[in-house]
Amino acid sequence: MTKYRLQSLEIVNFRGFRGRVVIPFEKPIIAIYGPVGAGKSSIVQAIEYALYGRQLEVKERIAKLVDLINEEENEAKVTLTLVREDTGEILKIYRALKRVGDSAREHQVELIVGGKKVASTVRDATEIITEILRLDEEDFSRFILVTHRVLEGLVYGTSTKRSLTIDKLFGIDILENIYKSIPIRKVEEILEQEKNKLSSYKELPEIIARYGSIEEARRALAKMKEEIEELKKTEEELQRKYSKLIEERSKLLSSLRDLENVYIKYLQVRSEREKLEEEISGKESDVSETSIKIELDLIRSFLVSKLEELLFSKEAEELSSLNITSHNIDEVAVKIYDIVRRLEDSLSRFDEEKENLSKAHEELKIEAERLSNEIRSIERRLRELEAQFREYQELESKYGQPEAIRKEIERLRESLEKTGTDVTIASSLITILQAVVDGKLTTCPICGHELSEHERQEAKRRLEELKERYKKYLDNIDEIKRKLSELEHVLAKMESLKPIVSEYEELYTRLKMLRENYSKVLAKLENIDKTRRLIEKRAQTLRFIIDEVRSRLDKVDVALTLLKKIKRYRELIREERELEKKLKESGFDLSRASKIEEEISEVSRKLEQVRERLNVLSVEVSRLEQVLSSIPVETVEELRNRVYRLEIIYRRLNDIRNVLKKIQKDLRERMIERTRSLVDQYFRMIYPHPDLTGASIEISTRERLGVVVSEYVLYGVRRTGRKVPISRMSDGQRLTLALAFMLSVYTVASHNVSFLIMDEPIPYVDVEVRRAFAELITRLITERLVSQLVVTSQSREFIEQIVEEARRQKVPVELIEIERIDGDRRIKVSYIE
Amino acid sequence: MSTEIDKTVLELLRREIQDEETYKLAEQLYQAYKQGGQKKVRELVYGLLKEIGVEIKEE
Repeated sequence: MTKYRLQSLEIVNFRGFRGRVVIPFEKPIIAIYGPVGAGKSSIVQAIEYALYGRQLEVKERIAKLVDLINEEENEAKVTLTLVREDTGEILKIYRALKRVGDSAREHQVELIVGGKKVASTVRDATEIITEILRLDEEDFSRFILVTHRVLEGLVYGTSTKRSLTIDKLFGIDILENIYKSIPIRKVEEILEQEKNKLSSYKELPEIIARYGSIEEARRALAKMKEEIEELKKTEEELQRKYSKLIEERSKLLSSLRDLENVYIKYLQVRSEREKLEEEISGKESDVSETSIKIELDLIRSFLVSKLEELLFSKEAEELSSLNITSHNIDEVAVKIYDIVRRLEDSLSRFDEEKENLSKAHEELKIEAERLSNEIRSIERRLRELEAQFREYQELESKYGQPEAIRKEIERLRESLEKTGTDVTIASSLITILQAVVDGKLTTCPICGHELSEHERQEAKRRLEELKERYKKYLDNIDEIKRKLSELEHVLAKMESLKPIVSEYEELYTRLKMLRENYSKVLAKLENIDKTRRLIEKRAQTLRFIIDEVRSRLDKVDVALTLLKKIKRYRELIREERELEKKLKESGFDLSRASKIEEEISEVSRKLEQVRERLNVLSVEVSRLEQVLSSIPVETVEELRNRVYRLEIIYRRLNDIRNVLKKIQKDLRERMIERTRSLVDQYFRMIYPHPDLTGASIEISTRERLGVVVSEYVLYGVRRTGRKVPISRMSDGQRLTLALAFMLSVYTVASHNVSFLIMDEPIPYVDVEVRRAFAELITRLITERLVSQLVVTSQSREFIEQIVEEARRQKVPVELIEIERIDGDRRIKVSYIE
Repeated sequence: MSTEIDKTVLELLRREIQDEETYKLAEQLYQAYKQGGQKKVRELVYGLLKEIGVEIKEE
């Protein structure tokens, strides 16, 4: 493996170190201890300077190159030696820096690889080193040099700060930095200003239309300004006058002493009287108690007659019993109002009833429709069945009911059987008698005696009779068979018609019932219609009465109110006169006081007018000034063009910002893909406890104001697979995860460096965390994650913990202690195997 | 790694920005930041504004 580790550093007059100091880097762990200002960081800076001719502070312009030279010297020299691990080849870099006035110049550089000088200029040396180590200056400060700033950002930062720290480690923080550097708010502000100017221009045509021309508008503006000045003077004058009047009124009131309340009462009475006077002026003769009484009586009579018609007898009675006098017109009006309200309630009930009837009507209509449909359907079916039903009826009337037919068939069958037997017997007898007659049989077939002639003649006669009977039997059988056949046919027919007859009869019965129901429903519908019409008629009448009475009552109400006002007005006149008398008797100048009140009111009114005018003028003046002030500078076209170009710039910058965020998200995802499995692997290697069995990193995204914002989420994994975000971990767990992550970045960078420098990595943590960290970084060596580790600290305890832990894990340590004696630095190197 | 990232970012800018002028501006902003950080970026934007007649005084 082409990996280089540190072998030694030689510095001459570098920063705080005066003279020549050689620092060997011979063991896997190099622990550098020294108090604040001893020069630990100078050693780290010297390594960085040797490699790249600059160092972080100089690059970030926190320090100048000249600051690397010891204050009391004019030249600093640095020689860094690295060794290639697989071949032992030596890489030596030498740089000499010379003070030139207030600055410094690198005047000598040498790069020797395998004993050969390969570069002697600053540029060549830096380029070749970058190439050999496959590590540039930025990458060096990113993941070879670990500072507490980076660790803190990972361990203790907010999710945003952590994401920026990780971006920095990945080298993609430039996206966020550019995003933030684009002065989009400033551009937006300017665009807004220019747009405002443009809108002022847009008002120009309206101003010209109003004032005639720009010149006229300028003249009007000047006039308005003059008017404003005048108005301000008037306002001041009025304000003075107003204050004076208020003062005079106060003095006048103070002279009242105990009568102050009387005067206040007087003012209230007068004000109320004046108000009422205005309201009733000219209407006094329009109204009287008598006229109201007459009108109420008329309303009552009208209402009583109508209520009787509508059978509202209770209300009619109540009204009839009212005795209307000039003193109770108020109560009567209220009473009539009350009855009207009750009538309105009745009207509502009518409406409700009508609505219920309508619903019932609707339901019955549906029922009637349903019945009618069913009736029609049954009638149609009956018509279809009619002929067969009639046929059955005819058969029944001709042959009787099937049961009777069945019995007759039975009887005929019996008869047929019996006749059949008779035929058989007759046939046998005929055969025997024929044999006797034919002389073929000469003896009696029963007893065997010889037959006589007489007996043969008798047999002949009997044969004739028997033949006659035999023939009748046969005729009878034919007749029975014919009848039997007919009846069987009829029975079969009737049986086949029976279901139709049953259906016909059932349908007929149902039809009868439906027709009855249909008639009932129609009757109900008619009834409802009748009731509805009746209710509607009553409701109409009631509505008419209510409208009529309400309208007349409202007029009465107006008259009553006017009457009350007139009464109150008369009372107020009396009261005002009494109070006036009382005040005059006490020597109060009432006429002056009244005059003051009038003047105050007048001055207030004028002040209000002046201020209103001032407001109008100020708005117009400010508008005119804004529009007119920008006219001579440029044309509208120029301004419009600038706004257009500004909008383009704004849009482009905004688009770029959005794209930067998107690219940031993409790159974050790409970088994570490269490091995720390493984070898990390294965490498992260096985390010694069983509670967390792995770790990983992922991206979480959300949208903010239309921009996709992404953040990294570092987390540990429990045995159960549950994720534990870094923010919920202990300090030790956080440090482990942060280190695992940094190492994964260190690995994926695929450089040719096998050392890691930790410059004061954890200055602000407690003892336990430091101990855990010491154990952790020692494991980096035992697990062969890095070959060489340089750690600096101002804490002796931490350094001792590293030494102790290294001893425990059997890792050799080189301890470098820096001391300051009288401004000089001394280095003490010891080795712990 | 830095060079690799510069290359990737410029490629992604080219892919994401269709408008040629906007892309050129994005590239300029990127290079400006690389050269002189936030200050250079602001100078570049203010320069654009100056071209269209808007003067900005640096705070």
